[in-house]
Amino acid sequence: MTQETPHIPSPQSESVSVAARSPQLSRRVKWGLIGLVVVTVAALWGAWHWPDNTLMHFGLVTQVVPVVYLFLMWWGVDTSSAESDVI
Amino acid sequence: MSFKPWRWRLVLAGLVGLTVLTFALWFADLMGVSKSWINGFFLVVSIIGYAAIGMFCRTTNAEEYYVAGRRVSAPFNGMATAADWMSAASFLGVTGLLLSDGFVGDGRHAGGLAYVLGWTGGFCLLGFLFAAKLNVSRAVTIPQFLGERFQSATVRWLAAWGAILCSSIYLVAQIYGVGLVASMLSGLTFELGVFLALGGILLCSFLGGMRAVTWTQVVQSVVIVASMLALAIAVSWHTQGHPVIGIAAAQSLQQIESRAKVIEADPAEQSTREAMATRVRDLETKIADPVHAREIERQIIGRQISRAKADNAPLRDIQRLESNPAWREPGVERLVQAWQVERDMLVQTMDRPVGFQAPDLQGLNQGWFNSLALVFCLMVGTAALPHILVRSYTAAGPVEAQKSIAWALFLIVVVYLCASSLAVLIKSFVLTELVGAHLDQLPEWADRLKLRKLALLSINDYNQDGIVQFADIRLFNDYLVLAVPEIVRISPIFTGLIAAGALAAALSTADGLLLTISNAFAQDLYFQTVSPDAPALRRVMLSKILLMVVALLAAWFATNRPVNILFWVTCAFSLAASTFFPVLLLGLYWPGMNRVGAIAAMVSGLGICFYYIVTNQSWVQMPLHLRPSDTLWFGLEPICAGVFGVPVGLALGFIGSKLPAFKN
Repeated sequence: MTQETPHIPSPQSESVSVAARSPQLSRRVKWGLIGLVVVTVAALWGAWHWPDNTLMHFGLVTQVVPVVYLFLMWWGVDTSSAESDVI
Repeated sequence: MSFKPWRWRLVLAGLVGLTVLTFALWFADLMGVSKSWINGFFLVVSIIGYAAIGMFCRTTNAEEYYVAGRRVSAPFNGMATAADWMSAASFLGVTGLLLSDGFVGDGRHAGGLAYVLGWTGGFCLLGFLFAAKLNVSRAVTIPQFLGERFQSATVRWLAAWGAILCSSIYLVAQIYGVGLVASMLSGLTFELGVFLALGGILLCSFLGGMRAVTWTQVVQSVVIVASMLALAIAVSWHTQGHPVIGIAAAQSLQQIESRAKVIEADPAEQSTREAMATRVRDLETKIADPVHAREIERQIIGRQISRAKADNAPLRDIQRLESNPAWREPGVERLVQAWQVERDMLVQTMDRPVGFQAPDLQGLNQGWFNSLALVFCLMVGTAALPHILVRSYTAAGPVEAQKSIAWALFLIVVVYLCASSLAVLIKSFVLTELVGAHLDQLPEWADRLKLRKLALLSINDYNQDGIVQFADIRLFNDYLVLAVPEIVRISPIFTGLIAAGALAAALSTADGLLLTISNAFAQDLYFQTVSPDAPALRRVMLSKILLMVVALLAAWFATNRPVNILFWVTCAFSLAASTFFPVLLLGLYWPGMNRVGAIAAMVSGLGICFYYIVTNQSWVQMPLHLRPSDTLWFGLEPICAGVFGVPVGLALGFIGSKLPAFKN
């Protein structure tokens, strides 16, 4: 297996302070978090509001919502990386 | 990131190896080779394969051993994170959970939807809030990060014990799962199965630490996803004639709903539930006055045994009478415990919906609140599990760390889409083939599942009519997926394949947990307090020794067969959420957070959560003469303890940091 030159880390306490010094969340991450809460509560509310609609529970909540989470995560990462305040 | 062809070759080798192995064993099955040989071969080849990768990646370099050199690219780190997270309980358990609890459940307990949403949504929290920042910190363990962030040895010490507690509960459940799958595959006893699999775990993590575990987990993630996908496609093809399992499940739903309505209205089903309710009342009377109840029951059983012996009854009948806990158990406490277990099992079975929800549910009932609380605990817990958080350190950079979470979520979503669809299809087999069958003419698969060493099905004819009602059936949900090939009547090779996936899931999680625990002991407790200037090689060697000790201890606990794996795994999420989420969130996003706030957040969060879980256990309630309703807050289940621990931790973290006497 290929051995690579080990990375020499910077002093850890300095890195830790860098990580903690920048408390701002990027705009997309904020929207991502709001989206996460809204989608989750709406999915659960919908499921309990129409308790007999099994097809909706299966199709929407167990199949579509996890894909929406994945989309949110991908979307949030994409720009947060560009806007990242920690690099 | 430069392109590393050997890494993709490793993934390809995993996939090709699994395919070749599957086809070879399929051929062996066609040639009439015994199933136990085929399954045993799957087990041995899997463990040897993982161990070989572990040995190939062995290292004594500290940076490699603890954080895999901090240069794993996003797709591979994501694959390793997915395998690290995907435990036996979550890989196998989700299907069984949805099958048993339904989607929205019985109106009182959390429905199965809560698990799917909580376990997937938590990755968004992790990716958005923590992954990049932890990567930037360049720490090695979470307690180390917290210790340095707050410049406090006490914070690090507390965080280390928190990580050990959460990870140990999780680890014992994993090793138990490994033992069950290994013994099922190989035909060995459970204890031997545990120690055989333990050998595989140790060879991966002991020799190469995080470096070996990372690359083993990459291959394990391929096995996990490929095995679930292969099973899903085969089941879908067999039942509906096409490979899209989501559509196949949706096609079956209408039939399931109408069949469930017929079963719910069946007088035989009602009489079964009435017989069960009578038995529950009977057990509650006995539990209230156990000494008197035991004497009466012993007299009755004694007479029955004498009569059976006088009539030359078969030995099996006499043994059945003698196995009654009132006859067998000398101590009252154990007898009461046995009665409580039976009562809880009956209540659980009676609450279980026939379809995917109880009939006549209305509005936002207690089940909605329990589900919401559970989603919160699982999401926050996923974002705060120490063995998952530590994966942020192995990524090549902050962006890679975040992207790796998206990759992990992608793989986990693929598995869960298949698992929830499988639940629907198995339900259709249970409702159409098993319910309504005569006890002496059960479907072939039901007979086989009943008679297995690890029985996945039991049937108790409560109303004594000789016909199986839905309430008579008890499926062992944690491992039911292993029986899908038999239920659907597809090639037994899929049993070996899905068991190989389950084994990979349990082994990968156990590896990650073992490393987290041993590193917390070695790095955060021993070297921080006893020998802070120890050289790197000594640190690695001690970590390895501690890893082996922890593994053996966990295996010993697992061989004592803890019950209800899913309950304890879910509790571990609540504990991790309460201990780490408040301190990480405030520590990373609020510069005013200080060491007093950190200590207050961790102690109060963990304390409240632990208190709520423990006080709702029957072994605590019984000596204190408490009823379950006395100790529940707002009717929320103990697995949702994090819903109290996290807000309390956040509040006290804030208040502690604001105290004038301790303000920095």
